[in-house]
Amino acid sequence: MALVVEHLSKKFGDHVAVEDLSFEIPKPGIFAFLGTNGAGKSTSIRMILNMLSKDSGTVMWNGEPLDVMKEKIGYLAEERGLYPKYNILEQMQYFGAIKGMKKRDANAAIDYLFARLKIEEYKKKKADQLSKGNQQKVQLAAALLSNPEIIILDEPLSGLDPVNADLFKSIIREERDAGKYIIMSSHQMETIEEFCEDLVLLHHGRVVMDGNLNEIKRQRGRENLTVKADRPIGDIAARCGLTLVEETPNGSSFKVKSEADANAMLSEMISQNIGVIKFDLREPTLHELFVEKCGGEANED
Amino acid sequence: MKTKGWREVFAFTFIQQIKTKSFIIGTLVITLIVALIAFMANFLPTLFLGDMMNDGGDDADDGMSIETLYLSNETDIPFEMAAAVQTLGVNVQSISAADVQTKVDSITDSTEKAVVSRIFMEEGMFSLDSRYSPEVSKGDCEVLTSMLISQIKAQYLVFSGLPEDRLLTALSGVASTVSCAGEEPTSFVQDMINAVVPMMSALVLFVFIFSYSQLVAQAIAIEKSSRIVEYLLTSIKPLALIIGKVLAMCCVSLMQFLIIGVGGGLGLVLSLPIGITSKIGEVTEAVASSAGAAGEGAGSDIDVAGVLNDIAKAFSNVDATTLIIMILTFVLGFLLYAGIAGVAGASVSKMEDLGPAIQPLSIIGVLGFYLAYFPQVTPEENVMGVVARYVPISSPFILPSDYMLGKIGLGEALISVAILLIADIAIMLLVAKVYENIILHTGSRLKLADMLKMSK
Repeated sequence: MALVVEHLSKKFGDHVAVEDLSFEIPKPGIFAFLGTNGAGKSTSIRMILNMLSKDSGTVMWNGEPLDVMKEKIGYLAEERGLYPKYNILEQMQYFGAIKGMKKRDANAAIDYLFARLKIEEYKKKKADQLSKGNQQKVQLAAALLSNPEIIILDEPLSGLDPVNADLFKSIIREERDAGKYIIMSSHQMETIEEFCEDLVLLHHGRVVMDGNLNEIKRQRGRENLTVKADRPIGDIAARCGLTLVEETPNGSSFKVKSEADANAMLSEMISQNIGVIKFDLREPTLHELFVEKCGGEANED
Repeated sequence: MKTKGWREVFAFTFIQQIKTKSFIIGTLVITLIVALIAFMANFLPTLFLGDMMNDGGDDADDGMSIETLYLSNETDIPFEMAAAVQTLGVNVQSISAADVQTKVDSITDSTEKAVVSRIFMEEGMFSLDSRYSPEVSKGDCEVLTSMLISQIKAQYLVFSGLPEDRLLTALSGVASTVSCAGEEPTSFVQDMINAVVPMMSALVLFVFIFSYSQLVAQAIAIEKSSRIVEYLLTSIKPLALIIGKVLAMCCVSLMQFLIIGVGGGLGLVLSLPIGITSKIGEVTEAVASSAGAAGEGAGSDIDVAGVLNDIAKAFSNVDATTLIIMILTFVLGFLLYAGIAGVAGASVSKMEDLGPAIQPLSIIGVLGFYLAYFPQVTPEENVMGVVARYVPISSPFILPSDYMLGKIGLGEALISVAILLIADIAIMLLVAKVYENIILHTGSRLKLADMLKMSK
């Protein structure tokens, strides 16, 4: 089974919201769907979920057009909510009913998920009596209620305290290990690096980076060098062809053209008996890649 | 299937709505008020007509505070008041004209429960002057003088030679009807019913249909502003969402309407044993017997039985078909207004924008209401009234009463219902198209032109 999105495009008047978006999730796992604010992520997700009509493109699941009314799909929207004045349990039962679940099955799933998320005592309360974090837990439970095969999580960890963020992460891992196809959108790059192997990065509706994250990093090579020494090393770095990015109390950061340049610098520092406190040559982080691809013209909407 | 899941939306919306405090308290309070009004409408007249409904004989009015009537007959007609006045428990003592002032003076500062009355001729007509003592209530004195007046009229007619068997006819009012040639003549009561019922009916239907339509807009706006709609749309289509919601609200309003109606009916039923409807026989008998004896109550022009008969006649068209037409019109009218309200609700993403968004609905609603209401002010059939019957924004408010009162036949009613149904289908198709395209819109409130543009 695979989820394949091909050539998805959408315009609102003259504004191009999404242009020729394609990606594939060939096997169960967590796929990162990234982009700046207003890059077209929500529009793309709505098109995938068939809430919004597509100007062009297809969304295929298991070789056939994805029928969101037929397939079990869990969705945690970025702008999420609950009925503020209604009983939580009744809302969950309603969500189960519109997903075609029998009341008995829905109740069993609600019991399990509420216990797992540690919110059993809130079942009889109204949504507006819950804290934001607990409302978010209820919404995650709603997304997972029908044991969906495809799960779309839009900023699942935003606004959570570290304890609840860890709880969410453990549940997301459980779903991944259960063979679910998960699309995760987040601005927390560390979380994405922690969970995702493959990604697509949108900027102004266009794909500016996609593929396997490790592969992308490998292709870029180890080009970031952080050095901390007991003496100034500016001259040595210049001689070795390194470009200074910034200096902080933790050391100096350089861009290197090749690992050989970094090795040459290390050799020279040793030969001059300079005490090396820190020498860290690494691949670019996802954060750095993101800023590099989108940083120049980040959309603040 | 675009409507799959509407039943679940319907069930959830319906249950949540009838569980709200506003619905429960509102329904209870209004039902109690309507029941009380129905009860009192039947019961209150018995209080005012109590005196008339005494059966004229032996039972003195327990509440009468007068013990003695000092009567000075200063005419040349030998009025005999004793028998009639005794029915009120009052003794009559004749006094001369010369003693009147002395008697008035004597009761002024005494504890005697007495009335001093003079019957005399002035400018060619009988006059009655009565003074009551401080121990007597003015109301009792008026009851007594009312009886004396009736007796004066009746006994003068007999004195003038009118046979007693014609007395009732002579003292009764003249029934008059004015009607257009070819039409059934109607009484004053029927005319009143024909004017008041459509106005009241239009008002009640407008309140129900319009207020619940606004609740539809509010419910949709809540779903949008709370962002829950985005989750719902992963499981159901927008059309199913709005159909389920509108039908649920329609059923809630219909249920409330029927509960209040049943409450009113119950109030009326509870009042039957003690209300005016239970006294029809007594009233008729009282009128007949008093007239026959040229005695008490003769000359009363309150024809309770006739009034009730006119009421029954005015509503003679009410049958199962009427109820079906009423419910059908209510439902179709509601769908029309709720459809418009649904679009208004979907055009906003913040609750505070809802007020301006439902203004067009308010304008259409008020226009429809006035179109239905104003033609009823004049008793004659008029062009505006005929138009209101067939225009979809006004027909839900006027059609039920027009059919109930027999102003239109089944054929005309069905034509009006058919036009309303076509309007409903058209509005629902438009709503479905617009709603699907604007339901996920966030940001500022959409104007009609924006909505239509987005729906292309």
